[in-house]
Amino acid sequence: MQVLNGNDLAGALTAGFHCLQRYRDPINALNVYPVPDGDTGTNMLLTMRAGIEKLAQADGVTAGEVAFQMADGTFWEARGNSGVILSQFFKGIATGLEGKAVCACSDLAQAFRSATDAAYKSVGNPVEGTMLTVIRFVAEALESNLQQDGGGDDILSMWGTAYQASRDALDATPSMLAKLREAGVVDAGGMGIVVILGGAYLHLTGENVEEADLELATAAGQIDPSQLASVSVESDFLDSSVESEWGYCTQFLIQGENLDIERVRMELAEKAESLVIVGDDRFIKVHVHLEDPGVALTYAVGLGELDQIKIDNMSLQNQDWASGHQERGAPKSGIALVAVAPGDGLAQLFTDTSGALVVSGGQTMNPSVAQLIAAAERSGAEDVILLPNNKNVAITATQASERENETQRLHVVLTSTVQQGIAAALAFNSQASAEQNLGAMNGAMSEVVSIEVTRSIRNTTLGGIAVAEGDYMGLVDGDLAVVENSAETALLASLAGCGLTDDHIVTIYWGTDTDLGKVEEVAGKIEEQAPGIQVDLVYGGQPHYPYFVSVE
Amino acid sequence: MAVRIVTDSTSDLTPAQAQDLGVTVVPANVIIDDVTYRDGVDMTSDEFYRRLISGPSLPTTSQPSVGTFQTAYQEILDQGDEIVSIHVSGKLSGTVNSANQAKASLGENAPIEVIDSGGASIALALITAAAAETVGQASSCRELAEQVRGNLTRTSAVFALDTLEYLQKGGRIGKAQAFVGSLLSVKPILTLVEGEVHPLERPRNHQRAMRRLVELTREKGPAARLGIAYSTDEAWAAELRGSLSDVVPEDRVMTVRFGPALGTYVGPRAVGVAVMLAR
Repeated sequence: MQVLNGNDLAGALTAGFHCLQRYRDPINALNVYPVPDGDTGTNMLLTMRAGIEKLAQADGVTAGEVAFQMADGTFWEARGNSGVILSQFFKGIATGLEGKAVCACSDLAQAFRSATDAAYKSVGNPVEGTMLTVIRFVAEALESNLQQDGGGDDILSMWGTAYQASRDALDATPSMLAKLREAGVVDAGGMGIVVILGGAYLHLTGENVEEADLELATAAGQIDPSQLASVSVESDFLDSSVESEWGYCTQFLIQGENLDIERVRMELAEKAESLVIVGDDRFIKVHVHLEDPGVALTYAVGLGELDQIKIDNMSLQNQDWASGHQERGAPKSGIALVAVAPGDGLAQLFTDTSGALVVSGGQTMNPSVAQLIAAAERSGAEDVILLPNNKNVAITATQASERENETQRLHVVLTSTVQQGIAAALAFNSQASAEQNLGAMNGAMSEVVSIEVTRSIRNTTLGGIAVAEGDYMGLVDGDLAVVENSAETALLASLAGCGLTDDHIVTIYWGTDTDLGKVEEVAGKIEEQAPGIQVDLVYGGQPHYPYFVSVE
Repeated sequence: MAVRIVTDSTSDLTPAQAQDLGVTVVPANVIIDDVTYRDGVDMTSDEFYRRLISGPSLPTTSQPSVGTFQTAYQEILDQGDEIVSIHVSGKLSGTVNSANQAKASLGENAPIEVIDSGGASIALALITAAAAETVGQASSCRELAEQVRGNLTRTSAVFALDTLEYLQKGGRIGKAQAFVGSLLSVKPILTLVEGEVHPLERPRNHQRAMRRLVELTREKGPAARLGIAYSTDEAWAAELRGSLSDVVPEDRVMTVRFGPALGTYVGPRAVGVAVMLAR
């Protein structure tokens, strides 16, 4: 086999996607920080799915066109750092294959070279020992293969070289990056690349991807095949909490005989949006968004028994925020804010202080480029400033801001915590120019020290500090500062390192599971530590983090 | 013939200050529980703020009547003098309209120049005081008016409020609407742009607001005159005066108290700093 045509490439990428689906959970488990966060496997999967969906609509096209569709689809759905890098990777591949009817060995090498360039450019500060390194190793191996082979003409062996190089690079990531070494893991995004290339390779060599075991190892040991998902009902069912926020999110299981899944999909597509419908002739799992959940249920009950019914109102909160926004008479033109916030209280706060449109998300739910852009467009403003409010959302926001649009300019203030975001939102002035606002907001966020208190989800060592599962960790500006056995002591110990004086303002945003009594108690203790200090208590409603605290 | 200066009570000049400057002050009206009081004449500031804070209904204000202006103008014209009449921003009050109508009623050629200062309170006070100091050298109301208009662009003010509630309820919030929010306590800093209330910044507490007032004032450049205004806390005015004591000589600084007409909108615990820049 000398070249890949469009169908070959599409088939290989689809197989890579299925393999990624199989490895999602093991990749999700490769967290450096023992905190609940936006899982790399899920982020890469959701990002890649958008590209694969476009491929399904484009049959019999050129290799260049397939690569373009992948790049285009993944650009919009990119979420999390790994998703954005993956989307830039595909953009680079598309650049390398632009105008090519088929992909020959030299084209593949060129595509990985431009993919490497694009991936490195997508992050402000490239770090080695990550998925960037894995991509670069592949490009280098392909280039050296070409040189030795004097042009080479076996595309399968070329792909095999790529896959093997990615595996070698992945194994090397802990030796390149101390925090991986310390946590005893290989890089999660890097594993994602390996798995995609591996799935594609198996497909090209005629093997079945659906039961693939790539025999990958983390630094802690071999991945147990039993952890791998089967590419069937449940694993195909992506977390709907990261889907769009419209109508009622309605999920249920249909149990029956001789069910026709294609027909169910077609008929529900006429009634609902955001369809995810998977299953076989006996079980069909349905996830849809629609204005009246009854319509979907009435339809389905005619097909069989219904089970596991779950209905969430996706638009309720948005409507509340939107109406608050209207009453304030915020201008439709001019300048507006879009903020990412992980809780109802925080969302309300952004809307209340600055009329911001809020995209729900944060550490555990990384919004996509398309969600940020949709919110910006809803504002109708000429200039929109994005506040990602989380490190995992920062480059998604940056990618969104690079979209070209004649009627709207997007800007980013790179807030890496909600606390920085609130300070920036308070510095926002809808009567000032975009430039004035960016200056004021960047200045304001830099004056805030952010403390986050959360609970460790496993045993690990971080920066030399031993952390046991269930311990409360205090992070100061993103770095682990203290480990304690209660959220309150972790907060007080973190604050003790901040040299509080009566000139400081401490704002405590308490989480959804935090008891107000404890919040008030801890506030009292802070006031004892630094008499005269201002301590403000605000309901944040964020999950997983009992306390977000700003010191300014 | 001399040129005489008229202003309105929103300049917040005390009767003593007005007398020293030789300025006639036309009072606006404050209406509380259906009773009309002349601003600065019928009710003390202490009494006004007490009723503003604890009274059952918010006061309202109304511009001086055309008749009040006619009377004031006529008295001056009768002495053969000319008039420069300097007033609160036309975007905040109809005072300039009353003044213009009074002028029109006194004949097309009445030697009266009505000026919309685009400001209020201490900014208006600074402009009026500067005019009063050079009034003796002016050969006509037109000449003095020219000079006053030149001073307008050099004069601006920043205010820190305890709350936007009064401004909002009084319907004068203007573009500062964008700063209305209740979940975090802030001390909004505002200014007037083209005569309208305009939002500037939202410091989180009083100390920071005071600091920012000083910094914003210094950033404007070399000053010729400085003015401080307060509604209920004289000590805060003194503190601002102290923080800015190196900016201009002591005799170039004025302190005024927001009177009832403005107090209705800025509310208790408000402070402000106006500056007239050096030429």
